[in-house]
Amino acid sequence: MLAYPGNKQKNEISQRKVKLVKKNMRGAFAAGAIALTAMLTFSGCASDPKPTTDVLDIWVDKLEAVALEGSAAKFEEETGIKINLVIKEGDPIEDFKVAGPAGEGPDVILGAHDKVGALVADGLVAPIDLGSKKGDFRENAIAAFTYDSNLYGMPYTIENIALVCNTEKVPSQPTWEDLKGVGVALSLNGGTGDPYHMYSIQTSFGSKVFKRDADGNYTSELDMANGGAEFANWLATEGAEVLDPESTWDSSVAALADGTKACWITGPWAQGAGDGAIDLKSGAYSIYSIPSVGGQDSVQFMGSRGFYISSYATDKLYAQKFVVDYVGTEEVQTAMFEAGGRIPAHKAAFEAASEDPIVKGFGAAGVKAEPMPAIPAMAAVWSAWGATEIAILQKKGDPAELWTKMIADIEAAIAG
Amino acid sequence: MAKTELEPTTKPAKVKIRRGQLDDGGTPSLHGTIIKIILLGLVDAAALFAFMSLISQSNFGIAALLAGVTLLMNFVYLKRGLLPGKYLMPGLIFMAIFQVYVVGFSGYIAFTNFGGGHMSSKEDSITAIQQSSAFPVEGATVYPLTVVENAENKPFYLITINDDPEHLKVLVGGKDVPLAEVTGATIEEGKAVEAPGYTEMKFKEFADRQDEILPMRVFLNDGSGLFYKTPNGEDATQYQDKVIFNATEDSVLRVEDQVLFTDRGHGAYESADGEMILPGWRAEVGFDNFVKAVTNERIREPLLMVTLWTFAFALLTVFFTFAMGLGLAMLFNDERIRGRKIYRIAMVLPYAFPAFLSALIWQSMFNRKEGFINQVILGGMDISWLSDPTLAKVAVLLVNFWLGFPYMFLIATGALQSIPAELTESAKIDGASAWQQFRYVKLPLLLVSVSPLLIGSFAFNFNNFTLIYLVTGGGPKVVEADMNVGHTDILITLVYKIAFNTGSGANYGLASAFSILIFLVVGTISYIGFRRTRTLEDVN
Amino acid sequence: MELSTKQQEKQAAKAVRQLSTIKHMGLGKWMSQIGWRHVVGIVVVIYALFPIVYIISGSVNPGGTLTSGNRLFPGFTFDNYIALFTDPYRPFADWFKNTLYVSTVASLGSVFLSSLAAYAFSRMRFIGRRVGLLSLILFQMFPQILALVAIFGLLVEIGKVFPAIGNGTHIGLILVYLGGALGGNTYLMYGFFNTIPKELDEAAKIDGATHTQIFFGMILRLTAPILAVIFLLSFIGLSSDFILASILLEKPEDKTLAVGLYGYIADKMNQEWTIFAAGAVLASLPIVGLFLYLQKYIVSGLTGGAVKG
Repeated sequence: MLAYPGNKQKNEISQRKVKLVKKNMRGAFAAGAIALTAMLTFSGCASDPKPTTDVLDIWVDKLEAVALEGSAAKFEEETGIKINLVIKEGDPIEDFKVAGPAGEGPDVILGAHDKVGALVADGLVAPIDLGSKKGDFRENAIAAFTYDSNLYGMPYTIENIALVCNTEKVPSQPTWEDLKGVGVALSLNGGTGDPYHMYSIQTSFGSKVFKRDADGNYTSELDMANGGAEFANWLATEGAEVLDPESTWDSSVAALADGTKACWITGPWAQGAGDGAIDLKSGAYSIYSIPSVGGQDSVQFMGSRGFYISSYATDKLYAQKFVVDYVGTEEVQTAMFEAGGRIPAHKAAFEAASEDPIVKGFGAAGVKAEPMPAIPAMAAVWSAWGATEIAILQKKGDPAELWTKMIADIEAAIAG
Repeated sequence: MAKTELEPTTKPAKVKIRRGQLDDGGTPSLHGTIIKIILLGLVDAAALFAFMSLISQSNFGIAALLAGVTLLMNFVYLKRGLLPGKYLMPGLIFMAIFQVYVVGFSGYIAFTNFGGGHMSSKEDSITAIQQSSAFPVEGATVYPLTVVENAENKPFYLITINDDPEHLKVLVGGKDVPLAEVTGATIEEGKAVEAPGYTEMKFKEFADRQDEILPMRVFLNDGSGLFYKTPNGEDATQYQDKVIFNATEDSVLRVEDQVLFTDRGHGAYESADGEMILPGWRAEVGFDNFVKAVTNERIREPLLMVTLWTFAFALLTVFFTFAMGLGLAMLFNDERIRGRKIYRIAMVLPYAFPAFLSALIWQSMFNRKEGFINQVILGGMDISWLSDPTLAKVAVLLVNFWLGFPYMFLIATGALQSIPAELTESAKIDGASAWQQFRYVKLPLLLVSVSPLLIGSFAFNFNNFTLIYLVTGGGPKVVEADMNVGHTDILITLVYKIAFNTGSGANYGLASAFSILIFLVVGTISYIGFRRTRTLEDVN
Repeated sequence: MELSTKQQEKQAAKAVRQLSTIKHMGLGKWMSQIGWRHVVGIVVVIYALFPIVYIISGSVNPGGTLTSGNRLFPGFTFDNYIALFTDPYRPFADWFKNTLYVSTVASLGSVFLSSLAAYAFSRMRFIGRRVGLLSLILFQMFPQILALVAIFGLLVEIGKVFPAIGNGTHIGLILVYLGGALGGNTYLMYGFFNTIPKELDEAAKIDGATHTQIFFGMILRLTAPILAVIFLLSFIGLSSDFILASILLEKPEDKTLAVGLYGYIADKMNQEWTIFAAGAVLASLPIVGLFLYLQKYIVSGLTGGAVKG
C-alpha cells in the first residue's frame, strides 16, 4: 500500500494557506541566504582563466605523437614551455575550423597539404618562415604547402603511389601491355570510387583535374574534358575487365597475397598489409612506376603532410620555434621516419633513408607526381568524380556522356 | 478503494471537490520544502555568479537573459500553484539552452554567409589578410637580425648585411622608421647585437611583446615598398605586400593591379566586379541562402525522387522495426517459453554495439564478390547489393531494421508489461481469441503509449545521415540525373552533397537554409500526422 | 494480505505449468503453441547475432582484418584485448570509466527530467500544453547539421564563466546530453503515464497526498518498468554518441569509449580493426550487464502487482 499522510479536515485549509504565505516569504529569504553563501564559494573556486602561454597544444596522430615526444621534452627543458601532444581522432582539420575561431584550437596542427587553400581562406593558419632552412626540404613538398606565394606549413613527409608487383611474376618495370593478363588490383573502396588512385590512369589520357595558370598555380577551372572521353571509354571497356568496382582494401591485399593478381596500384601505407603478408622490403615485391595506359605521361598526385601554425596560436613565436628549430632538423626528421616509416620530406633525412626499399621505390615512382591541388575548389570534385567512375565501370550509361555530365555537375558545385 | 483497482476502466464515484483544492497540489511537506529551498539557493548562487561574470565581460544581453530566467524560476518555485511550471521548468531550461539554441542558431546562420571563407569576425579577417599579405621576395637573402629597443622602449630591427663578410653593413629601423645605416654597432660572431641608442631586447621580453613585434614591417628607405620581417627574432628577410589595408577607409588595395576592395556588405572585401579577398567574415546576407536553395537548378531534378525515397525509407523503417519489435516482444512474453532470458539478450545485443561499427560491418558483408552475404549465406551468389538501385535500397533498409528493431523490442516489452493483466484476462473470459485480444485490447493500448515515439522514430530516420553515409554513401549513382545524386540518398545527404562540397568548402549558411526548408516539410507532415492519429488526445 | 497470497499462487501455478507443458500438451500441440515461437526466435537470433559473431571473431583474430576470407574464427588470441590495456596513448580503462560515469549520470538525469515533464503533460491541464507537446517532438525533427558548431561555441562561452562545466569537461558533456532529455523520452513516458488511470491520482488527492507524493510515491513506482527501459535506452544512446563527445572532449584520458575506439580505425591507411572489435566487445558488456540487471524491472510484471496495490 502506498501511504499518504492523510489530513482531510476541511476547516484547516484556510489556516494552511495563511501559513504557506509566510512559509513562502521565509523560503525566499532562506533561498537568498543560501545563494549568497554559495556564490561566495563559487567565486572563490573559479579563478580568472589565465592565458596559458606556457603550454603549446599540438594536434597530432598517434605515430606523430610517438615521434615527437623526444623533441617536446627537450623543448620543455630548454624553454620551460610544455608541449601538449593531443592525439585527435576523426577529422582534426574540421574540428580545427570550429575550435580555432572560438579560441579553443591548437597552436600547431599536423595535417595534409591539400587543405592549405581552405585553411588560408578561412584565416586559420599563419604563414611559416623557414628562413635559411627552407632549402633543407624537398622542393615539391615546399611547393605543396605554398599557397598564393606564402608557405603555410613545414612538410615532414611526402607520399605518392606506385605499382607494387610480385617480383617473380613481374621481374622488371612493365608496360601496360605487359600487365594484361597478370592482373592489376586497385581498391575502389567497395563501390564508392577512388579517383585518387585512378588519377595516374586518367592523366595518361591527358585528363587532369584543374588547369594551371602561367606561374603553375592551380586555377579553379576544370581540365577534365581534355582526353576525358577517351579515359571514360577506356573505363567502360578495358577498365571494366581489369578493375572490380566493388574492390576493397582487403580484397586487393588478398588478391596480391594469394597471387590472383600480380600487381597493385597503391601507396607506401601498403607495407605490412595482410598481417605482414605484403612485405615490400623482403624482395618478394618490387615497386615500379605506374605505366601509361593512354599513351601520355602517367602523372599522379603527390601528397605531403606537415606542421601548420594556427592564426589563433597563443604564442606564435614559440610555436614557430618548436616547429622550425626543434622539429625541422635532420635528426628529428629521421626519427619521424623511423617511428612511422613515412617517407621524409627533409632532404638529408630522405638521403639517409634512401636505401630503404620503400623510400627508394616510391621515390622513383613519384618523380612525375604533381602536388594535389590545394585550392578550396578541390573539396567540390571528389564525390561526383568517384561516383561517376564507378558508374562508368559498371557500364551504367554512355561513358563520354556521363563524364561530360560530371564535369558540368562539378562546375556547378564549384560555383556554389 | 478496492473497486477502483479491480476495474480501472470504470469511473469512480464522483466526489465533489473545489477545483482549487486539488490543483494547488496539497500541503507541501517540511523536508520537501527544505530540499527545494536549498536547491533553489544553489541555482540562484550559480546564476548570480554567472551574472556577475557576464557583466564583467560586458555580455549584457546574455546577462539580462540569465537574470530573467532565474527570476522566473524563483517565481515559479516559490509561488504556490503553477504546478505545470514546477514540473516542466528543469527540463525546459536544459532544452532551451541546448536544443532551442541550436535551432535558433541554425535559423540565424541561415541568414548569414557563415562557411568556408567566412568563418570568423571581420577583425580576425583583417588580421589574417594583413598577416598573409606579406610574402618573401623570391631569392632574397636571409640576414642576421637582433631585436633592439630604443630609450623609449620602442622595438627596432638591427639587421647585419653580411654579403661581404669583411665589410659588414648594419641597418636599423622600426615601425614607421625606414631602415638606415648605423655606425658603431657592437658585433658578436658576425652579427650586430647593439648599436648606440639601441639596446638588445631580451628574448623573454621579445616573446612577451611578440604581438607587437612579429607583424612589424620595417621598410627599406627607397620607396620600393619592400620591407624586412622576422619570424623568430634571429634573422630577417625581404618581404613585399600583396595588398595594403587602409583602416580609415576600410578598404584593401591589391598592389599588383591596384584594384580596390571595399566592404560591400557581403562579408568580405569586394572589388567592383564582385571579386572577394578571402578570408572574409561572417555577415548577415538576408534571404540570399534561401533564394539560392530554392532556385538551385541542380537539386530540382532529383528533389522529388529523393523526397519520396526519404519518406519511404523513414516510414518503412518505423513500420517494420516496430512490427518486428512488437512481434518479438509478444512472442517472448509467453511464460511457457524456455530460455526467454537468452532470447531477450540476443535481441538487445545489436543495440549494444556502436551503430557506426555495425553499419561498417554490414557494408562489407554486402560486398558483391567477397561479402559474407553472397559468399556464405547465399552460397556464392553474385548479387550486386550495393550497385543495383533497388537492392541498394533493400540493403539500407535491412541494415536499418537490424539497428532499429532492438529498440522497438525493448519498448514493446516494457509496454506489454504495463498493460494490466486483468484487461486481457477479462477479454479471455469474454471468449476473445488471441488475435482479438491483441487487436482490440493490447494494440490500442500500446499505440496510445508508443505512437508519439513512432513519430519520433520517423523524424530520426528522416534525418538518418550516418546510416546512409556509412552503408552506401547515397549510391549507386542516378546516371540520368545531371547532379551527383544516388538512389539511396535521402534529403539530408543530398543537402550535405550540395552545401558541404562547394567551391569554397562547406557553406553552413546554405546548409542551414536547406535544413530549415526540410524542417518545414517534415514538421508540417508530422503535424498533420499528429492531428490525424490524435496521439495528443487523452485516453483517460 | 491479499496481494501476497495471490502472487504466491501465481508463481506456483507458473512453475507447474512450465514443468508439465510438453508432457501435457503432446508434441503437436506444443509445436503449434510454443515450438513455432522457438523457430521464429532462432531465425531472428541468427539475424540479430551474425554480424556480432563477426565482430567477436574479429576481436580474437590474430591478424589485422575483421573479415578476411569470410571464415569465422580463423585464429584465436587475446592479444587484441591485451593491446587495449597496454597502450599508453590510448587509456582504454579510463575511457571505460568515463563512459560509465557520463552515461549513467546523464541517463539518470535525463530520466528524471523527462519524467517530471511527462507528469506535467499527462496529469495537468494548462495553457500551451498541446503546443508544448507538439514542439517537443518538432524540435527533434530539426536536421542537426549545425548542432556541432552551435554547441561547441556555446560550451566555450559557458566555460568562460564556469570553467568547470565548459568545453572539455565531462559535466559539460552531461549537460549537453541533458538538453536532449525532453525529446523522445518525455514522449515515451507521457504515453505510459497516460495509461495509468487518473482515478488513482484523484483517489490519492482525496486522501490528501501532495503532487510530489503522487508523483514520486505512485506514478514513478507504477511506471518503473518503463523508467528502466528508458534508462537503458538513454544509456545505450549516450554511450555510443560519437559526434558530440569527439569535439567536446580533448584529452586522451577524458575520452569516452566511442571516441577513443574510433581512433583505432580513424587512420584509413592504418586501421586496427581487430583491436577496435575487441574494444567494442568490451564496451558492449556494461550494456548487456545493465540489461540483465534491469530485466527484472522491465519484464517482471511489476505494474500489475502495484496496480493491485
